[in-house]
Amino acid sequence: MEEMQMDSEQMKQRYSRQMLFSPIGEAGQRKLMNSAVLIVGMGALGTVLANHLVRAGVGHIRMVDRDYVEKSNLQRQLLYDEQDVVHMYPKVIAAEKKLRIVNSTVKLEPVVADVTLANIAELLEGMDLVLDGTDNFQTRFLLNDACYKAGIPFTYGGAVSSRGMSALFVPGRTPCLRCFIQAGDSGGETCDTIGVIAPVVDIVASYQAVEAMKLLVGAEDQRRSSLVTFDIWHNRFYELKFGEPHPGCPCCQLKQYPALEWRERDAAVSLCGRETVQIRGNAPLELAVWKERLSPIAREVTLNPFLLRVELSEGERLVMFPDGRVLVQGTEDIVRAKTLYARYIGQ
Amino acid sequence: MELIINGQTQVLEPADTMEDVIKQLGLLGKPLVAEANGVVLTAEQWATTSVVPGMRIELVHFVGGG
Repeated sequence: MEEMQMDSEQMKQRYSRQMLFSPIGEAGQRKLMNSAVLIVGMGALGTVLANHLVRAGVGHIRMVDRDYVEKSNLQRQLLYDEQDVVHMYPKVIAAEKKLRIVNSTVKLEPVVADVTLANIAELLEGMDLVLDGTDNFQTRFLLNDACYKAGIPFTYGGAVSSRGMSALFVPGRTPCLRCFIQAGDSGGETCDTIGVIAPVVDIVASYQAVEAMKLLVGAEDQRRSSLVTFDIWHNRFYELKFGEPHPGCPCCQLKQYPALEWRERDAAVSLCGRETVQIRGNAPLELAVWKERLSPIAREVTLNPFLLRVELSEGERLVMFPDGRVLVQGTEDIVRAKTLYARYIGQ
Repeated sequence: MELIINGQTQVLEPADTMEDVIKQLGLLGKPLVAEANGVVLTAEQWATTSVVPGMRIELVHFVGGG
């Protein structure tokens, strides 16, 4: 918990309606203001989560995302607008810009990065809770395992089509994500292949946000001990009650934390349904230097403080980040992406 | 064989176990939790859990988008 100072009168003005809600009250408000949370993924779920928690006055919010704002995000990712698309802002930068004028008293910490085994421990440092805004199971398992190992609660949320689900997993108190599922295959059903409507995302993230608030104010007896699942188009709601943790769970029972075991990570991954391959280079990229280098041979090169976009004559596009990551857009073929990477970046 | 799956009555080919049901529905290998008559079953229990006509089954797909 971090110390957050705010005049009592200011606090009452800003948060009066929330403090009048007796389960929170003044004591709960102070707890929220002294809390620190990590939101992983600032897409549809992440933007709704951040909006709720910033307005609620959670003291320190660290947001991490690897991507930048694109036009197809605007239908549901509520913190972004057309100017963010024009400027190609990284999502966390665009989000911070909006959220800072919503509540200037909250400490916002944007991190442009891919969440991996290499940086997860650092991202969790000092956090009281982790909120899942990711779009893939690989990262969720990493969060699940890292959170259980560090003893940090983790809210799962997922949405696709008109279906959504959410649960709060608390180390030592509830089962974990791996108690329910072992395989991380989404069966080809992603927001990029079968779509998603915005209301389901808002509902899922709101379930996550309210459980976060209960956890942070210490309302343990009110926490939901189930996995909520619904289809808001076909009018179905179901709650899967938590039982005991799975006795063979490699995470919360056997404490093996499989996602934290080092192994040869794939340096190149195809981002499902997005015609994009991400390649993690092993050295930082000096974007201004790369702009000069690639301008004469590329169709178009655009630089902003966060990324360099290079339109290639082959038709594909490279999006380069200072941390060494490169998105090869316009292909899902990893070999083709590596070829282009080798041709233009060559490391 | 008539089963109540996710609140809807469905007629399937005869099935002995939960695994047979999940296989018939083409859902083996998917991120899925099965519940039979209100009891959550782990994936290892599917092959040994008998199904009987009229059983209430919930199949909860974990949703990956965000």
